[in-house]
Amino acid sequence: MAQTSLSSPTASSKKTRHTGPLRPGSAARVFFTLFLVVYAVVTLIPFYFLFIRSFVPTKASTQLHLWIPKPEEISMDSQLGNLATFYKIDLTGFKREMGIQGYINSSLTLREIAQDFNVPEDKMKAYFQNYITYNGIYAIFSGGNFISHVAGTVFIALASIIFGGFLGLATGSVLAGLRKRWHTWVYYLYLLQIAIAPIMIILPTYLIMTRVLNLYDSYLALILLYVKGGALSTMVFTTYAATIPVDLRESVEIDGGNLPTYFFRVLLPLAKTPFAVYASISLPVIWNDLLNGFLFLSPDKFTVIPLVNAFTGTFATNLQATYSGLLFATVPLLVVYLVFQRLFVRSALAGAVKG
Amino acid sequence: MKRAGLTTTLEQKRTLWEVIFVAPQLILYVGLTIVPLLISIPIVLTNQANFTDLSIEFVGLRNFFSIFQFPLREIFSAAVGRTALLTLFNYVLVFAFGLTLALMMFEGKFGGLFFTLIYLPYMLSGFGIGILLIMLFSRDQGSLNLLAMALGILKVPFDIKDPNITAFALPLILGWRYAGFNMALFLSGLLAIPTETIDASRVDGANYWQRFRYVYIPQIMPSIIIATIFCLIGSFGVFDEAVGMGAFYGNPAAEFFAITVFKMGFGTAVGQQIGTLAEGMTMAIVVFLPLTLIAGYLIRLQKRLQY
Repeated sequence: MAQTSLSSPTASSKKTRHTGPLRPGSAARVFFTLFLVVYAVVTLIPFYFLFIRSFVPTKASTQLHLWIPKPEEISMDSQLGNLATFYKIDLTGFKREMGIQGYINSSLTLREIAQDFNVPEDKMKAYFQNYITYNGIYAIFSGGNFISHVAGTVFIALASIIFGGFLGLATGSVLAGLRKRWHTWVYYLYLLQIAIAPIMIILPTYLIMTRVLNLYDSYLALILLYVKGGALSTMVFTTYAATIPVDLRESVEIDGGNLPTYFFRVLLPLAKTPFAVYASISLPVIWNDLLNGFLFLSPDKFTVIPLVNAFTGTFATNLQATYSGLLFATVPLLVVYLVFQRLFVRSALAGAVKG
Repeated sequence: MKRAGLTTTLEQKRTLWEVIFVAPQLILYVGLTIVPLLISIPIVLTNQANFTDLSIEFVGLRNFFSIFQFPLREIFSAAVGRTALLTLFNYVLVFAFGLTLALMMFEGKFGGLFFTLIYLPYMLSGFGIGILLIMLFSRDQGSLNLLAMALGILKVPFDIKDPNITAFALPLILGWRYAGFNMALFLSGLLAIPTETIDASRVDGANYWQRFRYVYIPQIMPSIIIATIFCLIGSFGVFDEAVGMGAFYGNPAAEFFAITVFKMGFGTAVGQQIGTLAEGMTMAIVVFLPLTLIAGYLIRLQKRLQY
């Protein structure tokens, strides 16, 4: 298990590294390790249960399940119509798979249908079995277009992060060092955003979006809200821009260039780190947003979290669908997080107390 | 050496470019954050009923009185009280989770894998947190309830619809969610402490508690202040979690302040209109203005403490 060690960001080469007081093997270190291991395991428990519950049929929810339950047997005496309604099965597909032509009376039981149309009972059972076991998943994917909602969310997130980063860098390029009076004012104006709870301004913002900008059911509304900047982007990019030596700035001017040249030739190419910090902190915020997606988009265009929220209404009696929905809405972000975990971790440490 | 004419033109050109580069984002920011903040002032002086209401009349300061009278007073105080209690418990857990973990990581120099796992819950949406709360603690089907009863720890399951239970369970799960975030906050503060101060205290024979109290705490004040601001504003803004807990489906334990304000402004969209939009905004201002001022003051304090 590789362990990246944490070093102080302010350590300079002439100071000795602060060595922890804990010698390996000392009682304190053993205790801490144990504690952290236990905490890490406990921290995963809710995720584990979310995963399990996505496979537990609603009817069995009142029993404790510690792992994925065996799928219940389909009874051949259950009526086709009931099955179709409860598990949201498309009967046209069923008929096609079984090779049945013509009309089926949905109050017939499966056994009767198997006899009438000469379909082997096992084949019928197998067809329905998946719907029972993976009911949550089928419910959300067959309702249509879960993937397209995910794609929409990805689009919004990418566009917002790219443009937000660009605009943030532009802001930072000017405010770096806070050399002038008005720079400081603008800087603190952005910082004020931390103290403004979204719920406080959401009603007027809605009025502005819909009445002034006429953006009713539009991805653009969300993107604008995500790129408008705030404390985070301003702090990250201003701090970064301030680390560029003044000589570079002056040499651009001597060569006859000005801010645009400086921005595109010097700041932008070197901005990988602050951009990564900004992206890793913004991504979860954008992906997990409920309020804005809910207010500014129509259900067809929902991002993933408002979509799962809609499930709690549509699938109110099908808990499995809700949990599956939440699971699949969270997994993409989890995957990105795990792949880029070192980046996320470093950004959290760097971005936390900045400015 | 002043070359007056040349300097002025150069300065003007520079300033022009600066304005061009700052403008796009600033216009968006002012238009979508500052202006809404300012617009709320005229709105609270009207009787606007909801966001589609066009027949708005000026009513002066009437809303400031009506929110303190029946029937809104009960709703208002219940929501504020519930949210204030949440804030308090959250604040305790910020340190219980975040500072404890940060200290352990700091003293033991532990590495990336622990960090990754501790930070993982932050990737869950607030809405998901609400759903998880029901999934784990619902009286009939909560997984943790079932587990605890099977293990014999619990005789009677927790009922998440009971506001008293929620008052403890929600901060707990929020503490879990933000553990990594707060840990990072405190850890970066700890890592910035000049090591000489720590070594010096050890040479002087200070025990751990003394070191903690006199060396660590004063020097991580900026982190503590930021954690306070986030906790304060964040707790009063709790919305997604409450929605996940069924705030719009009749869960009285989920009536936190932000939900109440939302229902007053957008209640018609979810079929649960209380009061008028103007009254909702009045409540929001009455509560958030002091909070924003406190937070603003804390931000300036933190800036001054950082050197």
